[in-house]
Amino acid sequence: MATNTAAPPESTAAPASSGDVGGPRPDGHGRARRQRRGWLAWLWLVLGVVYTPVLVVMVLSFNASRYGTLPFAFTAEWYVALAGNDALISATGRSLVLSTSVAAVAAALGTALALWMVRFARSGATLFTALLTTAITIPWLILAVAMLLVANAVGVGRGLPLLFLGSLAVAMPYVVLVVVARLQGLGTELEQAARSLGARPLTAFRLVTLPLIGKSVLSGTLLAFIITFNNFPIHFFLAPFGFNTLPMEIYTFVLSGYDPDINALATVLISVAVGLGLVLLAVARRRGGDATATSRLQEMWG
Amino acid sequence: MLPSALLLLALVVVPLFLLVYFGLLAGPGVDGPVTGEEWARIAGQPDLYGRLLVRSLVLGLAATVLTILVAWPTAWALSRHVRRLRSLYLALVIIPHLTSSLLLIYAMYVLIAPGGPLMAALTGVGLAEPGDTLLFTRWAVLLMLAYLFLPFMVMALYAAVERIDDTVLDAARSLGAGAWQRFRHVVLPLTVPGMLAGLVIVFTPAAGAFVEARILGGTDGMMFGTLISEQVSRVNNQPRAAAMSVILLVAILVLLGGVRATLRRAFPGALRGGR
Repeated sequence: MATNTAAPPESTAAPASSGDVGGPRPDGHGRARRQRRGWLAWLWLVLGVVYTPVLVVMVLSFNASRYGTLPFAFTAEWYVALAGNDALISATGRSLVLSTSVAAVAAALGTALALWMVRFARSGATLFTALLTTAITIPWLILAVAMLLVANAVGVGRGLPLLFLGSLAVAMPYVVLVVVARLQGLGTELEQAARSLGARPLTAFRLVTLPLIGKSVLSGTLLAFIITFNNFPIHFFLAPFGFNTLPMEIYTFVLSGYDPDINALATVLISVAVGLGLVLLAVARRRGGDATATSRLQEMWG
Repeated sequence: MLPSALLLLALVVVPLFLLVYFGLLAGPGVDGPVTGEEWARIAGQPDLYGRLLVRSLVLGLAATVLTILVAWPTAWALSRHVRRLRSLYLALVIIPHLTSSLLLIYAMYVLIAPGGPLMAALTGVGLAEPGDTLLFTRWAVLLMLAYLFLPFMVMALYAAVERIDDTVLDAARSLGAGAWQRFRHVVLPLTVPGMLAGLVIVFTPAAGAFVEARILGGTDGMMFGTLISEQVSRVNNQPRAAAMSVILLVAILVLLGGVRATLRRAFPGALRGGR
């Protein structure tokens, strides 16, 4: 990664920059600083837009009014109400169990498939890559409807097995793509070296390859967890009746309008996400590595 | 590899192909005879199905354009003007989207509700009448889709911008290219592959969205996806849902191909040897 930001090339998109001729400019330094400030202001503006809805909900979660009206009067009663809201709490539990189990299985299957694609598949790898990209780019609504109709035709219908398998089929390709990206940059020399020193295939894999790809397997698992937790269309069409995941529960609450309990829940969940994200980032930084989660995501999308 | 292959085959490939077959059956279940009557019904109501399909595609494209307009300068700022805190900024853009999107939809609902903070602010500066609202319009859906998929576009464009070599810019400058020329003829074409990647990961889910429209759109912002979901969850006409899914998927693929071809013509050479 090139990290020369000290001397930025003129803002190519900034309307402020008058297209002058090249060469040394008398006030080049102050100009560059002013431009840098402009770009940072834009970044903060974008962050402001991203966090506005979130902050509004956070503030309102401490507002006494049941209908979100002003003037603002501080209260914590919605958090007490949230603690007593069994529907939301058990839905959170269901979502956590589902996402954790799907992420674990997706990690195992996805890593195996990635290894096979990179190491053993000859012509199959291209086919699988096409298959995985298809699975990722089809809208979840259409995938969910297709899975449900097949289940209905077979006579299985909605149910926990279908919900689990459907979530797995959506989440696993992401693990594969993340791990494949890492494996392709790795080569087989180290594993072969271990083999030539007498390690059995499985031992070589466990002692050499697995530690090398461990970080990407972890990022892939995290991604699978987030995707499963988030996958409302799959939950909505495949979950058995009465088994409401958290997104489904929020959906039913939201359809009936403003709800202070959801404000409190949103505040808790988003705070957890931001806190966890920043902690992971700090850990990745201390290890001297690149920010794992974001850079892996970039690898995927890039 | 075998279990994974079976899983993808049984739950992705086969169901997608079977959608074509299911669409030809007589409803309401998927065990009727093949008649093709649902296709005839859909074709007979172009003012409903055609209009909603066009709206879904337009909303998806508009959301994509909006995210490009916001994400491009953001990616440039991150790549060229921030060094130490880059991963922090990137993480801050992404993190809220790691919770449930339903929470974000709810947050937007609260923000733009009549009498809510956004409307109050707009009324305060004289941009809106009291009582005006964005809620239950297609503009609310557009805003929501752009908001939800912005991080994807930022990441796609950041990866593209990051790859641009500064020596290329120096070369252009030494040949006398001004700031605008460097942007138009060097930087922008080099980010076309990134825009295309972003197009796929933003346009496809945006055009296939349904919850956003269901909660924020009302009748004005109803989308094709909303109608599909209601065919399954309320009306229980499964063949029609299958036929509509096929239509939506084909429309999305055709449009993606069209945009790709257009960009290829607009930026000759930009995609040579690319993905």
